[in-house]
Amino acid sequence: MQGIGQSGLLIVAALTAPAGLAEEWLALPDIPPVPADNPQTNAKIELGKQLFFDPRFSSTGTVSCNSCHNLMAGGEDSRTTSMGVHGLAGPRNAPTVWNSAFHSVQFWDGRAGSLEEQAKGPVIAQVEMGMRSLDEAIARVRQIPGYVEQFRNVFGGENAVTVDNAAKAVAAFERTLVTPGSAYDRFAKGDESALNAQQQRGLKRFNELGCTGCHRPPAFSGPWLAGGFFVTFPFHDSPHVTQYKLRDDSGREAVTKDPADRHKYRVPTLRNVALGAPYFHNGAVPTLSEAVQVMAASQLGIKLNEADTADIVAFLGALTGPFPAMSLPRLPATPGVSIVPAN
Amino acid sequence: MKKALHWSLRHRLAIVAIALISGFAAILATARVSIAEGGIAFPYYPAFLKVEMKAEGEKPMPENWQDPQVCAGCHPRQYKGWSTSMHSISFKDPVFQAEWALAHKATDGKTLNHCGGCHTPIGVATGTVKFDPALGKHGGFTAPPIAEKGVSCDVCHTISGTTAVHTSTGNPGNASFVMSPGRVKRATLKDSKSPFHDTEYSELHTKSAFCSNCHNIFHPDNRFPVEHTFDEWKASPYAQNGIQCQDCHMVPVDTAIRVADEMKPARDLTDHGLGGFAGMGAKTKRDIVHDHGFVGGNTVIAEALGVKGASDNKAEALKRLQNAAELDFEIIPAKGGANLLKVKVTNKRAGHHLPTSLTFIRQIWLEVHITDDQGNELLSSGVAKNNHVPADAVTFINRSVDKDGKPTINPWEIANFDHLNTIPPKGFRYGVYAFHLPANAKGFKVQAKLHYQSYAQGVADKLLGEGKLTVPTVVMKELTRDFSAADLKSAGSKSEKIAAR
Repeated sequence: MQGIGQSGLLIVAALTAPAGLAEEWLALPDIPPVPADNPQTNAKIELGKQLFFDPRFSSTGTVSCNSCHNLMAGGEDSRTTSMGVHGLAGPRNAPTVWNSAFHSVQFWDGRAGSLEEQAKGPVIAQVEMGMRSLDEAIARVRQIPGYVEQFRNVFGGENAVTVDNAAKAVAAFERTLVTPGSAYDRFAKGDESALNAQQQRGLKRFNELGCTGCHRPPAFSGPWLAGGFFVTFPFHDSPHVTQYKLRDDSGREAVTKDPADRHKYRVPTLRNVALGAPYFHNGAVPTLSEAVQVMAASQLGIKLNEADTADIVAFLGALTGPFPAMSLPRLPATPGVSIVPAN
Repeated sequence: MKKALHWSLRHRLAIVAIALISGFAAILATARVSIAEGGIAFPYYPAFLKVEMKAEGEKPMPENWQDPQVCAGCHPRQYKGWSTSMHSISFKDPVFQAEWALAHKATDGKTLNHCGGCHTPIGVATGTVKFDPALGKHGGFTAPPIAEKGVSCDVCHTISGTTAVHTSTGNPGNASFVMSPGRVKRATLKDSKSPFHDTEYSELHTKSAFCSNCHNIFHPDNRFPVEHTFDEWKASPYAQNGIQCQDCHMVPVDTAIRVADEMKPARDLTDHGLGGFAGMGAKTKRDIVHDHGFVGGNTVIAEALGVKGASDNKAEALKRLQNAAELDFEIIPAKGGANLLKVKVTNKRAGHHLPTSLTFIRQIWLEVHITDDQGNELLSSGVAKNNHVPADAVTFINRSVDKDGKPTINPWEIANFDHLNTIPPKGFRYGVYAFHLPANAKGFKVQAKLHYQSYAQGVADKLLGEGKLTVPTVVMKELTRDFSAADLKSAGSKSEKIAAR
């Protein structure tokens, strides 16, 4: 992968996205924005992949990134809210890791400004990977010679095994988890037969109704803003609010302590959304068609009819995959001993 | 040329520095007054711009303002209008850039903020606009992408006030506004709500006073009002009838025509048809959703720059120009000498003078032909040659002169207008022509055309280079009438009007 120098260009591409003007449907770029201080290299991506799949950096040795962001499926865990160590469940639904690199900020509430920053969060969340500290986690990495060698190769220096470098490696790997080439992308590049008639109707309605106001092509996430693009959800009142407890979570307000941020969330990508059930920050809505209706009611203030709902669901299906071929990594071993402490 | 201005900014700044060091309140007060008569300091002087950041001492950065593309998601209609408007190219416009570059070189850079304050408020506020002598014919300016977008959505919609009473003339102009970038967007709806940004009602946005902060420009040194569109409006019947800039320039041309004919604000027109939703996903239908094309008379640059949708804006501009003025003829028969043709040009539907803004560069002139029934041309005036307005033409412009009374059209040199001939709102001016009717003629025909150019061809040639841009000429109005020779004779010796047939 080529990383250096791509970042700026892609950010410009993301900003000049269609903006609700249907004549400019854009296909997903092959490479997401890459920060200047963490260029992509093959060795770094391979290291990040190993760390992503390695459960030994959770307190119980049972939870890896992949546990909740399952790359064998839609990049999440199909659960209402994720389950971490000791069967503990967190408050929010796991967002997909596929195409997360196209988000300018991470987590539902945008509290991480980069994938690098995000990667450090779940490791020490008590209901996720449950480590007491990042130092404790990185100390485990240092006990594995195969990792130490790779960190030195990738980052250089004797003290290459650091929390920041581990986060950089994971983020570099995550920047390869992109799915350009979906039916929609082929359509956007001019192959009109890539979408069937119902999907094309859905795309048109998706735009006309104003969904593209927040879910912008090509990633169908919010526009790339350095500080994040946050929207109140639910915005309009509807019966769904109590039915699905949509206002129980204070959203971004918990991060900023600013009441103006109450119930504000980052706009998630709709790439692979068909594989992302259940839906929303609390995973309370079980099906995609119901999620579409909830969005129409709560964000656009309209009751969407069955035909439009079906058309939009069909269109959203055209945002699925294709997923890159991937093999499971061989994790560096500690022959003869386990670095996971006894229960 | 360089010495044409007597900039005293350096001295003023020196006084402020001394005052700050000495810390004496009295001296400080004096110094402040010297920089800005109203008692407040202006960090971007000679632009009267102020920026209020959320945190005290926070430095304005380009990312504090939102890209118009972000706004477009929910406001595609407003975005589309704006993207074809002069506001969207107020910085990029190569004609402006070249004029600004010449001014920059002639004034040692002192026009950077003076012009930039309105043409790229974000570039000035963030100190990111830079002169590059290698650009264009005379040099040009660069700015970060958001600042390049000129008067963009977030420029106007984060304006929280005006510094008009504190300018050196005590009047609005020269970027006399306060920007408070952030999530609060200000506009004319009292109960609007957005899932993305906060909203605030702004009385200022409903009034001409909002526009006045840039559509009124005085020379920073000699304070001469070089552009006075707002002042023209303020003295007009439109102002007295409560018609604001927005009533004509933020509605379709057909509505603007009705506003001028009925002399009522747009909202008071019956069945104005301007209702709709202000944004995608909105639930409340609004009585008026304003257009954001800000169409005036400039039909040239957006299209030349290849701006998408520019032709829509141009079509609107043409229709405005074609409906702004009316022509009429009066014949004053000779009393032994030449007959007089008076061509009356009335400013029927513009709430400011015709032309306005750069009244010494824009061109509105009459082309008049008188021919007798034998086919003889009795008079011909105002026929453009190679797109240049001929010297004999009756033009409705102001003549600008420097401090010594010498004609100049360089805005940085202008100290006065020594001849005023623009046409005020609902007012009129005459073009007067003398002619003889041959004895054998039984009648004669008068043809008149009122022409418009956004700027003189010579200005385009000077700024962009010869042959780079042919300034379009728009026929604002045309009138042809036949007269009988008997009419002239029967009118006898009295100077009286002859009714046209």
